[in-house]
Amino acid sequence: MAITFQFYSDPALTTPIRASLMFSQAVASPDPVDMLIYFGSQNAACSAQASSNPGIDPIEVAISSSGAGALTADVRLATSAAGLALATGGAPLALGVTLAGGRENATPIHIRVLDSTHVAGLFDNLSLTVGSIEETS
Amino acid sequence: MPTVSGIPDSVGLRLSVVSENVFDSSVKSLRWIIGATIGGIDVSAQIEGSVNVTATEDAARIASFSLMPSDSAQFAWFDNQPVTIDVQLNSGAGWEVFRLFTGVVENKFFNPANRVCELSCRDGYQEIPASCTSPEAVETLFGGLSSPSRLVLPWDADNPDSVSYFNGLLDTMLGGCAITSNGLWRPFAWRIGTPMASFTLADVMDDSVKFVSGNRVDSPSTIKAVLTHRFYRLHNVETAIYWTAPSIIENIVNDLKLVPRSVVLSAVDAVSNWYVKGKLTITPPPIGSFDVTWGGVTVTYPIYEPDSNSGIWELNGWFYRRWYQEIEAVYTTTIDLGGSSGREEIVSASMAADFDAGAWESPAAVDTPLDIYARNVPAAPAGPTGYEALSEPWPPANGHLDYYGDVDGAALENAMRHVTAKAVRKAIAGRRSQRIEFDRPLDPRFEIGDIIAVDLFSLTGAGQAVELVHSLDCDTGDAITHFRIACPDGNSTDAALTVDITPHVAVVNHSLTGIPTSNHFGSATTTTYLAPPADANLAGWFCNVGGLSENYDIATPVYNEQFRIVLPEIPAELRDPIRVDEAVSTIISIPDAQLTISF
Repeated sequence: MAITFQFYSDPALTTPIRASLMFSQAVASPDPVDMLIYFGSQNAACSAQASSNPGIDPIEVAISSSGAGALTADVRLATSAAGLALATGGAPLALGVTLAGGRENATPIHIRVLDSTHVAGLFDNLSLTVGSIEETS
Repeated sequence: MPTVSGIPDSVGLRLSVVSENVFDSSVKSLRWIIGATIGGIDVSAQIEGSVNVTATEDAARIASFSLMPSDSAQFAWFDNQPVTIDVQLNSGAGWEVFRLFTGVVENKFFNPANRVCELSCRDGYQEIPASCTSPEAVETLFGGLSSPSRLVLPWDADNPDSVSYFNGLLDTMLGGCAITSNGLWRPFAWRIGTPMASFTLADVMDDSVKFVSGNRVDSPSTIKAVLTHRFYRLHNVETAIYWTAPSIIENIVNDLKLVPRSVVLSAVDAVSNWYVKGKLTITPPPIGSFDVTWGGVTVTYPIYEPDSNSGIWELNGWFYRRWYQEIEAVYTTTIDLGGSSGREEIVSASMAADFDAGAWESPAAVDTPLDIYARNVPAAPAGPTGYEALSEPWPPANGHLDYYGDVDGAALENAMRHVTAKAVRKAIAGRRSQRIEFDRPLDPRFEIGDIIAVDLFSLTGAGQAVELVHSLDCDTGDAITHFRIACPDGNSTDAALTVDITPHVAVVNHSLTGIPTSNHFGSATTTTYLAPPADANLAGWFCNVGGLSENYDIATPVYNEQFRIVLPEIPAELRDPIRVDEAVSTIISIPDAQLTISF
């Protein structure tokens, strides 16, 4: 049985995100680009905790980099649009110690990208990841 | 409880850092390359002809393109596969990538003559509401911009229809929904704020600029929002009854018998629509011998225990009556849009209290005016108030209660807001049908709902993107984006609605009293027998003077011995259904494009 907690494109947790999210930035004077995705499970009978220390450690969304290119510090995460202004670039986002399943419990994840490198190009090195979780149903 | 461990799939973040020059109209040439994937496989090299992507407010983003399948297996594999379409642009300073579409293959057409397969693709705009299994899930899709009211727009848990519920809420949304080029659901408010870009004549294709005025059919001169709330007004009146039997001396002088208790209780039972509140207090005749002196003669009047048990000396208690009245409160607000259409449009809804008023009005199944015990009552809890056996709610004595059932003040306000929001959306949608359209070289920076300013020929103003059409022709090299922006005339930057509803408050006066009960003597001399009033105004104990009495007069009216109770009728204005009209205070804001057209 596979885990059901995933990233979704809508608050009703209908469409899992399969393709990369494309953020376009002007090279010299970029404006921040915000997107909103969701993390959760359609299964209302299940819940999730971090495998590292269930019930103690929070489940975190991390900004991972697989190499050179875009900077993780240029990405901010928050659970609300207002929280983006206060978020620290590159910092992981704690979603909670225990996440409940079900569409009504979808956790919004606001993403803001603002390039600071001012280097033109297409960079694929960044991704949002969640560590190992234990899903109980 | 089974537990499973794993790592959720990651989400890639592609960062395309592009030159500002790529959309600079002063750059005279632009090269482009389509990058399309189907099921994660790059099919860019197989694409033939044109690629079209159309994004529209409150609709699915659709894409169509043609390609030559490598073989029949690939052709069969296309079904329902995820699709992404990117475009790489080059204006001389490197290649820059933009996402145009994220969706799935909807259907395919194959021309065996040239072996070209045309694919129609669509995002998940329809599937997302359809897959919701709860009203809360549907409501989240609107990002707080809709006005739900389960009373007016109910959710049927037994036969859930999430699509109808979504469409019902969309009718109240002061904004729109779309799915972005990245495939993300995006609700947005209708507003004309700071534009993301401003285009002048140098940025657009000259012949493409069009101003389209609002449709007359979409712009009534007034829109009324009407909410009809049907509920019950529950009335309750009480009236006291007090009666005392003729005194012992009257009994002796008039040759009367003790009043039988059964006759009085039969009269109590015969009263229609009125019921005894609690228990009647029945005082039996006192047991003993009573000496009465009359005209110098002393007479002993004995009352024995059997006579006391079957007689009645005093009656004291309350009667009540309760009934319901159907009330229809009609809350109305009018949005005056002006214009010349002269047409009035009405958005209406109704809701009713979920309450069985008929059962409420009925008396308790067991309702006897007598206590079980006549004397030596065993110790018992505190006495009844009289209404315990009646179903709730209990209106105050001689008062009323407007009973909404499962509707409270907040629910009523939500319902009115729902109806008014539908009217406001219609009003703003009519204004937003005023649009500016233009084409410019491919510009995939914008999403539906983004704000774009224009200064084109004699047209200036700003609007919100309601349709974006990207057309790329691999044969000719044309790459064009068609913009359609909504430019409403309004009074604000944001679409907004404030509803202030005051629930109907009734002033009801109950002052119903019955005919006082007294004792009436028939066959009596005129000195004792008073001139009879109208029959309807007689109540109490009716008896006749005995033949041995010096007050006996054979010529005067003789009563049928009886006990009569006369209680008041309910006036029609407190009984018949009534309709009350209430105005609702609303404040409406419509985004203003600040559009000017000069000649």
